[in-house]
Amino acid sequence: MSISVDQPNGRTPLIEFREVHKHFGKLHILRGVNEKIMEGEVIVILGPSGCGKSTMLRCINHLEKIDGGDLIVDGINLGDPHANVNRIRGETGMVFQQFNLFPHLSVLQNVMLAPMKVRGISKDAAREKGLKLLKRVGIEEKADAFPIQLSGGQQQRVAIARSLAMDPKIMLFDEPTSALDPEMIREVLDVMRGLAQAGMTMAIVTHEMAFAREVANRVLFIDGGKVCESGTPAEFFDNPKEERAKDFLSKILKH
Amino acid sequence: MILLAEANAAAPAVSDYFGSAIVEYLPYFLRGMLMTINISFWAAIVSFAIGLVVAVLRVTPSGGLKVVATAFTEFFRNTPLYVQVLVFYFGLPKLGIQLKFSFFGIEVGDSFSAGTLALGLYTGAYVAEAIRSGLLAIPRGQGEAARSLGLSVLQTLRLVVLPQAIRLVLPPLGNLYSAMLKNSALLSSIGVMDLMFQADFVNNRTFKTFEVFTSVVFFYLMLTLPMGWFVHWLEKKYNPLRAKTLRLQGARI
Ligand SMILES: Nc1ncnc2c1ncn2[C@@H]1O[C@H](COP(=O)(O)OP(=O)(O)OP(=O)(O)O)[C@@H](O)[C@H]1O
Ligand SMILES: [Mg+2]
Repeated sequence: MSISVDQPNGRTPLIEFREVHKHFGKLHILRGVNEKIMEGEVIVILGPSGCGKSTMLRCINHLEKIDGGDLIVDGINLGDPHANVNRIRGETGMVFQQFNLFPHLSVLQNVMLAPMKVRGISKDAAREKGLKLLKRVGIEEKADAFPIQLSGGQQQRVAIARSLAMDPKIMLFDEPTSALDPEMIREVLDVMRGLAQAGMTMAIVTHEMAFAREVANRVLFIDGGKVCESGTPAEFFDNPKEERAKDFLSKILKH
Repeated sequence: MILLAEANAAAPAVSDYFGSAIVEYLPYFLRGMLMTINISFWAAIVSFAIGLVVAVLRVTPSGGLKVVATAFTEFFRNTPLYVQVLVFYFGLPKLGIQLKFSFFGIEVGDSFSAGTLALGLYTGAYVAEAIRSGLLAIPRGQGEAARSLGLSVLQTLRLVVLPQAIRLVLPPLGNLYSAMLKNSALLSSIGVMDLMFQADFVNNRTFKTFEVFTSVVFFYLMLTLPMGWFVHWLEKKYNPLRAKTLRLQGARI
């Protein structure tokens, strides 16, 4: 509650970027990002390749360290060197383009691992929770299979269940369907849609424009290392204000 | 008639081969084998522990310990094992390091502990290299996924990255441990009473050089072959999906 500044609706943002900068060597990727993500919001992040979309998500769960500004996640400032980073990681579930399931563990073990080792819950409780989550993503019959025995779409759904097992406050998705064959994209988007409807806070980088338009509360367009435009999907897709956003949309909507 | 007589003359030699020297001294060989197993067991533990630590240190980005770990591997891999064994046996006492101690009531002599340590560290340098190559082969995303779930650095290593890396390098590890078992014969030179030591002893007693050393070959095979089978079994047990996993991961990256 200590960091409430000028909230439009009086709530504290779950995530707040304040003049966030990030370099990779000489490359200046994030150049003063300011943004707030409120609880329950579903944000879709768009922008040209290499603009820093993944970097933004990775900063939120501290896979990348910011090197300027403040990034406040659930009340903890990641710009502070003494921040309890492991706690933040548990609160922010991340789903990767490559799924990154642990191949030496069964599907159920993948989902049970973090709750047991990070939260310290019992094996039985973790199993019960794991099975419930696998059911939620429609894949409980594969609980004892190994990741390699699953299709890409199934693997990604397990990855989502694995993140959910930590009861995260926000789910971050970095191009979750980009490595999938077209016929498997839908099953993953369906799971994500279900999460959004259940009120999960989400930040999604995706190229699925129809999905973005349908599910997002707000679209962020990133360019030049900053949030270049922010608005509802209707505003953004039908009536973009920025020249660069128009240019971007004309390119991606052509095909 | 003459041919038959010659055949009869040859017969006692054969029965003599199996009969006297080897059978009579079998307890010596068996004691030697037990000692060889004993040294190999401890050296395996030393080498695996040191190999794990050194491998992990070598892949961490941070500086100081990485240099130490690299120096360790380079030193032990680039000098002869025989010299290392001698240095440990003769050198350590000179530095005031006493390796004689009692372990569960059993007196452990200088030669045993110095030899086991030397063999363990030497093998450990190779084990470290094998595990390091395994660690480098694990896709970055594995560690990132583990960290993003809130696992600490150590948990990520212990539960996610190392188990995969070690499964990946089981075949080279098997080769290293087979080499280690064979290399343990060198410890006979500092008085460890292993299989090789007992063979020398029996040979000096009986002068049946050929018989003694061919049987020693057999005794070593009785140790190394089952170990090879054991490693093979481990590979099968832990890695039924390994080849497939790698292929798919490779294709996606
Ligand atoms: N670890 C890294 N080291 C050096 N450069 C990096 C690193 N990670 C990202 N970059 C660079 O930072 C820039 C932004 O990367 P980022 O992955 O955030 O882009 P993106 O918007 O997600 O792009 P894409 O749509 O292609 O996924 C790119 O130019 C990339 O090459
Ligand atoms: Mg990206």
